[in-house]
Amino acid sequence: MKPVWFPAGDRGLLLDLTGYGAQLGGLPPAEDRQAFTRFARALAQRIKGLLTAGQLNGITDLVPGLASLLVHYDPLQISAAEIKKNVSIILEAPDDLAHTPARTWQLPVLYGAEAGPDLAEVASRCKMSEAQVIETHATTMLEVGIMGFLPGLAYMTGLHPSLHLPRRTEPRTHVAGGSVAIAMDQTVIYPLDSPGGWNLIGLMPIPLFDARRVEPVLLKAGERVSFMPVNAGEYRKLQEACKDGQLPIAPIQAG
Amino acid sequence: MANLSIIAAGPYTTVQDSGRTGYQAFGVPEGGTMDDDARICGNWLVGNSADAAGLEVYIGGLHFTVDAPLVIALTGTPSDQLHITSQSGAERRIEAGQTSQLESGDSVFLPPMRGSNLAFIALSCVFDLPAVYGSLSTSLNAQLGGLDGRRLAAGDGIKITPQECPYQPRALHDNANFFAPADSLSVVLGPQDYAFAAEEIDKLLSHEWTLSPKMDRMGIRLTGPSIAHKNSADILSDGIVKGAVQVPGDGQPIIMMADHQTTGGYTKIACIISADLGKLARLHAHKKISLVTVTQSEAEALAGQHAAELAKQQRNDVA
Repeated sequence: MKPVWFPAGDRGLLLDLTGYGAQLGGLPPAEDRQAFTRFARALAQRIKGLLTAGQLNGITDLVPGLASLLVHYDPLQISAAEIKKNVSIILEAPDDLAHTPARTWQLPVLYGAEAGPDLAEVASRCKMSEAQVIETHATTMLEVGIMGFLPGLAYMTGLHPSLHLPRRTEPRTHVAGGSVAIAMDQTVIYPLDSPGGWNLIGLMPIPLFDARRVEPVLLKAGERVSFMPVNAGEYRKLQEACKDGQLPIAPIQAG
Repeated sequence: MANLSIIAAGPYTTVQDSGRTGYQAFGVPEGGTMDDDARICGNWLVGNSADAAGLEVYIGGLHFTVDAPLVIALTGTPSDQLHITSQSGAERRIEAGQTSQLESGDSVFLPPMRGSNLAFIALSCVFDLPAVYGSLSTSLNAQLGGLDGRRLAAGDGIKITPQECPYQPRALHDNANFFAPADSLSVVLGPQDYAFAAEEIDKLLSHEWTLSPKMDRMGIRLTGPSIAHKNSADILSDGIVKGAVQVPGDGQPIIMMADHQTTGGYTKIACIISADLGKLARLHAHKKISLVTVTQSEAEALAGQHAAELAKQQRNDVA
């Protein structure tokens, strides 16, 4: 389907990549979504390239969505009509929008018990043992689809189908920062203490956002993530190692 | 190096500048002043760059002292005053929209405001606070920026470096009219207006809406008739602009403001135009407003007109 532009005031222009919005008011099937998300990120990269090269001005931010790209712009510098004209040229050359290489992470997780209060329930609902849930969750390679909501919060897609569950019917008023949670085909890690409705299976000791680090945000859209179960002692050691803004882990594969 | 010492902070005072641009794809909110008009005018009055940090005050109640000479201005309200008391006990009052010179030991009090729900206090100094992604703006929900990512409180001290420039009295061209309360705001329909039947969009445009007291820097709720979706309130999460009018499942619109989340999964029926965002931020709870539509290109032209009006406010130097 052909991407469709929608206005977002006079400082935003939303490209709906599915074309579904205009025609059906519905959502594309789940199996298509990862492809739309990748396309949105690749398109953002291409537009960034034009900005860096000075071929396009007045675009203030580019925010990929699950199946869209929001172009934030300054109406004193550029009009929506000009943006559409420039981006449409890129859209007609999709060969350049190939998947770009990205870093791969293996993040430590303390699974179950107090760290993951929903693990037992997840196991029983998925008809698996807790050890099988941990094994399946840790070893499936996920992809950071988009970042959003709070600094550093990554929506990681590609959760193994045997673990697909809806969100909890009663959201919790307090979820601890660092909580590793699953729902639908995704895993998220809560960057801060906040309310939340996802199924909590563990805790990740490395802050997703720390303003003291050279790169404050740990994960970026497009990166790949799997997990490594750690015990309580290792968890505390890693948490301690992050205290002064240090990062005690590195990607297992560079981008 | 000098100090700004908070005696009382009022209910909701934060350090704000022009915010963080270009990091929303990392989930980092834009932040920045709710009312950019007030920030731009205030910083011009005291001789700062337009994007400099100052104090954003909801309702009023801020009381502080400084231990160095500084230029100060209150902006974002048509009518309120700063009460200034010198060390010797002499009192004076400074109208919004004009400058005053503070001496070391002066205390400044902003009583509860009548003309606006929030205002900006500009000071001719740099706040010695750590920048996060190039900005000092306080983001309460992300717990970053400003003073430890939180509201100011009694007993806080902020280190400041006064700007070294001779005092030049200034006043805005027409403060009372420029910051007068609005009763109508313009919107551009979309990006998901297709999720609503025509009569539901008519509801948005033909009814008066009341600003709910449930408002903060993330969003302002409107109360009025319930707006129904054709199918569902949910969309695949997409990016959000400041001013987006989001309609969740309960049908009561929420306008996303400076600390809005970067992405969200609810339909957005329309967006308030950029020229009217300051006006909206200044309105008190319980105030009634109506919404009128313009096209995206009309809104772009209005942004240009608004920039010209802002520039006009900044040209009237007092002799």
